[in-house]
Amino acid sequence: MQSFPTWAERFLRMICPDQVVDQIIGDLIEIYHHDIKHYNEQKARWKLIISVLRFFRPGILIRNKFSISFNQGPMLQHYFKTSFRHFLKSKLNFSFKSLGLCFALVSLLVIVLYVSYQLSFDRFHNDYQHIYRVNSQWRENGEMAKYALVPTGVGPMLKSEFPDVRAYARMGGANRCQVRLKDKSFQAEGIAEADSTIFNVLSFSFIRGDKRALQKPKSIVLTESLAKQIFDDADPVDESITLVDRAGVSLQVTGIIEDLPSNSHLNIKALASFGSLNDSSYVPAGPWEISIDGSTVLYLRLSDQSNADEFVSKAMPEVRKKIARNESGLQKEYGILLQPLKDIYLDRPIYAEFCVKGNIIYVYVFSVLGLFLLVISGVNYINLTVADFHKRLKEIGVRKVMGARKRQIAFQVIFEACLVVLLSLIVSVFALYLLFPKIQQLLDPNLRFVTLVKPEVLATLGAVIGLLIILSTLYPAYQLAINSPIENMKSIGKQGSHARISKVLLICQFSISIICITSTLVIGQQLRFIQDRNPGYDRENLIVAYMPDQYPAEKNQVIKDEFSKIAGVEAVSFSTFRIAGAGYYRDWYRVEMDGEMKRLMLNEVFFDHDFFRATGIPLVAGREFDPQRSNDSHQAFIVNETAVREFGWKDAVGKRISYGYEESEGEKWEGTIVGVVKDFNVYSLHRKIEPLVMRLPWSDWPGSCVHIRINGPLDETIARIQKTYMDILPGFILHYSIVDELYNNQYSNERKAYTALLLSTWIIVIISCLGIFSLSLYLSVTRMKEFSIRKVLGATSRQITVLHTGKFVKIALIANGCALPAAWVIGEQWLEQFAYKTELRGLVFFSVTVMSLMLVIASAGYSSWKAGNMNPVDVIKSE
Amino acid sequence: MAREFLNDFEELILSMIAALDENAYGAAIALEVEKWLGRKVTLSAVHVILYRLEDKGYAKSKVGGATSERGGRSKRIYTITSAGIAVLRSMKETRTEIWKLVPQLKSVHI
Repeated sequence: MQSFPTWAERFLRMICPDQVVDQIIGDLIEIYHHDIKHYNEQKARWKLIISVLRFFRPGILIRNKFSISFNQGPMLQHYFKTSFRHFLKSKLNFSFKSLGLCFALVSLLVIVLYVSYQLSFDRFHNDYQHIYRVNSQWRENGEMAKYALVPTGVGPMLKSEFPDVRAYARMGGANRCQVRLKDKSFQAEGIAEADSTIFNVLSFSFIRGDKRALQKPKSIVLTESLAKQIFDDADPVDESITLVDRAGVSLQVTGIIEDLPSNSHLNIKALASFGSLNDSSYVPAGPWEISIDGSTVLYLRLSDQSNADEFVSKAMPEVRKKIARNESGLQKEYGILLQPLKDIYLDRPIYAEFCVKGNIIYVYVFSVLGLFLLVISGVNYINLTVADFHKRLKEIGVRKVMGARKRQIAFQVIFEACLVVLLSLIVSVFALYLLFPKIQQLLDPNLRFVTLVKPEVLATLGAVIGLLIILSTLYPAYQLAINSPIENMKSIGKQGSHARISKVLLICQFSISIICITSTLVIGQQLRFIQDRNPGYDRENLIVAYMPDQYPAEKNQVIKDEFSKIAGVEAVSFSTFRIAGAGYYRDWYRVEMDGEMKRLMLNEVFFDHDFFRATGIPLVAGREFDPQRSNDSHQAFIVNETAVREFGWKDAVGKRISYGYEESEGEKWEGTIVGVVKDFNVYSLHRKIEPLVMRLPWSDWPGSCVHIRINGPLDETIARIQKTYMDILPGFILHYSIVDELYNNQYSNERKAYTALLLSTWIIVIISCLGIFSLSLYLSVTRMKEFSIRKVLGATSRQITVLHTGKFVKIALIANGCALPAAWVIGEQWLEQFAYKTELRGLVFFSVTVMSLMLVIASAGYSSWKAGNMNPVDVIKSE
Repeated sequence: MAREFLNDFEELILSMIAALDENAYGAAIALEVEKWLGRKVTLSAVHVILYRLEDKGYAKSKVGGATSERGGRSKRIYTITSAGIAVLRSMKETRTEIWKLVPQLKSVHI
């Protein structure tokens, strides 16, 4: 044979390891020659081909694979080993690095959980992208006001006129009702009425019954939990329940649905068929009348192709054509708006919105905090790795001399970073699991640990952690890889540039800490302000009882009289609204301004003669309603100070004011202002006090809230009130709230944010201090020789301590200069949302500066002190 | 400590390396095995065993001279290491020990 076949050679070169392929071919040729001597050439050739092909076997292929990516396995093992040795060698650095990371990761995980929960609202409905709520808007006192309601006629009209509308459903606000089953009574919250088509628009999962459940009038669908509460273990389907305070209407249970997930803006426990909750005396507003009372929430499901904006512009002329003329001309600028279902929870609140609302600001705040934490821990990691750099220079140099490639060095650094991050991640997830009940309690009881494994959460976390690894290893890996081995070995490095980068990073880190500390202080100050502020009424020892919707009205006076007689009760007052949170009516008034009667939309409340006594709201001018004067009803009005100010009155008492239109029927009120009260916050301090008109109630309905001032022991008195109530209204259960609790609940969002911010700030500050502590330790070690020479030349311990600490103090001062103006702006912005707020004073900022300097001195002080007190002989000798 | 064992083919190849002294390379071993045992062996199987023996430290290799018979390609010449000798010896001794325990052979001696 002249030459070995080329195909065979190529084949063998492909599958065999490089270092042995020549010898294999040689062997094959030798055997071929041997075979030719023994057999004929043909057979020898066959044998050769078979032998060649039989080299395609695992024993050869596997060996080959290892040799291409040569010795990666042992290298990995080696990296593990050196990493662990390195961790052990620099325990302090490693433990600070990973401790900081653990803190940051736990908080990051919590923040990711919280934000993803906030963003998940109402996304469980099928095709939620195509579901909208229809809102109304019209002009009030010169401004467009948005309401979450539309007249009842809109839904059916849109469905019949526009093929874009797949389905519509109207829903009344969810109410508290008293439910009776046989002889047992229950208070049930969240009973709403809705069109039977609700199941075509929103998604509920039926346990019993199906989508036709509400087609018959007087039927009701219960959620699982309410069914359990009412029926216990009995079968609820086809049973009847009575709503005692809804004209005793009797409803048949036709279905059971699963409880709504907690991330739903709807807070309902039962759905009754549309119209079944109205009581007999109620005259509904016309289907096209603009009124808050007669309108309902309307949900639409549009077809997949339709666009919400286009749909509104098509539907608007039709709605305008139909809408009834309103005495105050509201129809002129009446419009409808479509609000995507998924945005309802986080959008700004609008009028008449009876649903669970979140606050987008806190989503932003938490996301920014997450970012901050990430930056802080990344900076810490970079700083500590860079500080560690010098110890490793020699190692890297030796590696390079032995033939390590740049890529391998970079890989080693990244590998170590991944190892640290991975270890910290495992520890963090474990810690989060242990701390979870506490976190639920602090932030939101609806948070779930399993949310962590949702694909989008995992993806976010993966991306964030990837980013952290990349950012924190980029610089060290680059630096370690790029230097020449000689530089590494001689340990000269580019210390200047490291120091500069570390400094910039430290300033960033410190600025973030300062912003967080300041924000925490500002929020804390505002919360204290809320706590200490007098809302205009005496919120201690005050309770509000709610009367059921329907009860014998003649009992009102009895209730008031009997309650007043109870020991420990000081005053009892019926009113149409509840203090601390709910209840203006809004209506049109004519008010005397500059001698003319002007028409204005005003807030109004109704209460009886004892209201001021019960709530402790002081009068500033004129008189209260007087039980002796019978014509106070229909003629006497009381306003608040804001009204006096806004109407431009000098002397309010005696000014003319009237309610009701000349042309319309119904009760007319016409009279004068008899008194002015001091401003009080009916709503939370977020909202500015608006002009308010106070009147006596109509004779037939004094309002559903009873404010009761208590001067005895709270619990006992409440028990006595309950007993009296049951005696007067057998079959009814007293429902009441304590005003102080209501007041505090208004700020639960702020309190939660404060808790979260406080925790994050602590963590951020701890991480920063850890960073400064270890960095200063490292720097002091590298400068030890310099320090000892200084000492030999006559520097005192104190001078060296000051020299070393001064470096960090300078950084802290620069950071203060950068961060304080930013913190000021942020603080002002946040306080904007409160109409009544604490003032930002320089003192806060001054205390932040002092605090930050003290923290720096404390964290850098240890190593400075050590550096100052070393014996120069020990240092210089050791070289 | 458990003693290391080689399977029969590995033992055969290792013995062959020892026997061929300075002339043990893939083709020679394959041909020699054929000659001694009259058994067909594929060259690739021999090579795989050779690499494995080298991995285990029982043999070591160096690249040797080329001949025209080989089309000018080099040889990889294997030599047995002392560890290889030791394992061969220990296997042989063990086998002899076990052989002594076989009863009918004892009776033949008597």
